[in-house]
Amino acid sequence: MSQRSIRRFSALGAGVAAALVTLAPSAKAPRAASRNPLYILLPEASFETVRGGDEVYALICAGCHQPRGEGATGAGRYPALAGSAKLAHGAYAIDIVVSGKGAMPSFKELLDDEQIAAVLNYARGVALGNAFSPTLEAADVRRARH
Amino acid sequence: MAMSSLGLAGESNYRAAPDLSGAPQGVRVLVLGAGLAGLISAYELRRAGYQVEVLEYNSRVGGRSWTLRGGDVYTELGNETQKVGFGEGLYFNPGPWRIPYHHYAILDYCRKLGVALEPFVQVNHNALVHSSKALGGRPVRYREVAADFQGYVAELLAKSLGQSKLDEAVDKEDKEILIEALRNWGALDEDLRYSTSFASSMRRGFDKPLGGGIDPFPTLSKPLALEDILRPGLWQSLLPGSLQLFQTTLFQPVGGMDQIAKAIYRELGDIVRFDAKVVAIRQDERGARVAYEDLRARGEVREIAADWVVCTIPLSILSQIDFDASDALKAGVAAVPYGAAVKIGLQFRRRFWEEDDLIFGGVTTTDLPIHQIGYPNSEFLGRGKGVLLGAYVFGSPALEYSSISAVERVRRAVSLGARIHPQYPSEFENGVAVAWHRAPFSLGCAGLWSDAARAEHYKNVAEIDGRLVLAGEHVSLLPAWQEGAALSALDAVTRLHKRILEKAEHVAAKH
Repeated sequence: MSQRSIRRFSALGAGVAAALVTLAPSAKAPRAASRNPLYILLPEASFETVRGGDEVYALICAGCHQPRGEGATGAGRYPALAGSAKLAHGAYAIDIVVSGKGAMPSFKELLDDEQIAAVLNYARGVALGNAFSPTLEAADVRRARH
Repeated sequence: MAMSSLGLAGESNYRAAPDLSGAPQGVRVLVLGAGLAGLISAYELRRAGYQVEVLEYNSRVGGRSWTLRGGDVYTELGNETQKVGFGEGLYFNPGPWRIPYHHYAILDYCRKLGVALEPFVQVNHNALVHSSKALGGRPVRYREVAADFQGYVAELLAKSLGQSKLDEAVDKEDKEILIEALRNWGALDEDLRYSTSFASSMRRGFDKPLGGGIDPFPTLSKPLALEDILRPGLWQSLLPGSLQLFQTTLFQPVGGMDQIAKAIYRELGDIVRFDAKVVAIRQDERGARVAYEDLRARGEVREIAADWVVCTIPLSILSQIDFDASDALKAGVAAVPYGAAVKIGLQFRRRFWEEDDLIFGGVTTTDLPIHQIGYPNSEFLGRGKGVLLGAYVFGSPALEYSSISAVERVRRAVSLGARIHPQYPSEFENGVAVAWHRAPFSLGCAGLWSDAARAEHYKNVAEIDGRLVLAGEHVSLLPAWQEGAALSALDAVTRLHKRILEKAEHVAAKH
């Protein structure tokens, strides 16, 4: 194992991750092993292989925003994406996924530009009862990354 | 040192309960949230003589410090309801499940309030280490990986000491001592080789153990190949137990983690209003008012006035509440995303991990997306049913688990776990899955401060802001730990008390 991997373990120990779990063995360092401790333990079958906006939505977004984008309410709430006027603003929507907002983490490490564009096009489309245009491109996401 | 490195320390800075003497009469403090931070705040403030009330969203105390038992009903966001089917006396802690020996504040409350503790086994040398990419997916014992990794490292170092530059690091006398130490530490033979031997089998176990009677003679075991430990990352399973957080001794409350919250609640008396959803926090120079929906009365909005507010509501929720505070505090509250984590409790009709596999407590690790199997640390050798932790995942697998139904999460945990314990399918009875992003009362497992957010906002989040002070694991460098919640609460009420005394003096001086 390389020095880099060892340092990653230290970073993991330093972050929330160590507070939460013990390590599961993994063959190699994950693609998205960055400073964000949320993603350090990505298994080797990462989200790289998940390309469709519908799949990304089903795997990542649906847990909170719900399968049809209906949102959910408890002590706090997950905003509905179905019929969301905010989603109409493509640049705003990209910024939320790239940077996170409030309780929502940033997904810029987990997802690449194409995936973010794809999942937003899915959320802005008929599947969630929306009809927002234009279609977002990977280049739009690239510009929004800081 | 980077701030996040401090989180690694893990050891609590708790020394003793705060001395809040001299509280003025009739000062009202409202505590928001009856998790551990809220309960501890209320307990200490009440003891000091303040008039304390607590608002809690759930119908129970404890917050994330929570235990599920047979008959419990849990409805997550998305409206799926799980009825827990565990047998009598069995339980599962979906949140915190262990208390390091150095988490002094939590331990001190357990001591004071009579919460019985028992050992929590973190490292069990007979638990399993599994990788789908190692040894054809065959799990091995922790002791085998531990002994073999140590043995090979000792061998490599001992042999290298005769060579070139390494010689310069130690003088001749130390070199001899070091080689002797490595021989013993690594169970090496006379030629400094780690190999099949009585010494190595004494570490990693015998194929046929030592016995008594006419055929007591053992069969030695053969070490794994070094590359089988290195390439699939089996060595990583050895690291957690070396962190102070997971070093022996750890504890768990007898009967479930919620015993701590319940014990504090018993001391409080009838000052907690349950099913109260906070919707607004107002404050000015004279005091504070908190509006909440009374969920026992169809959400009717009620208001409570107080002189001060201790708010332990997770930032994931507070950031959505209409509250009066400085821009600095508001920015900090909005700067902390909440992590995904999933735990799944599984009930089996017998304790096959003990009966068949001789695993008594502790944790098995795997690269499968269940990551861990945690065995119960009590009722050893019991003849009845048992509940184990069938999955503890976070990161992207946890996002995936959160996106499927609870029933499906349990099904996956059983089918994946069966690759490690083939007894799963025939012995499984029922299970319950908690995906923390779907918990209506927290919207996540814990606050995930980035280094940048912490540098910019942490102090503002911790400061008393007018009539309001925040507490909880999110206001600590022990994130997600109960100790972090406790330390933050104790510090918040100590500073609040001091501020109240200063105000009282100021008023007295004016008159």
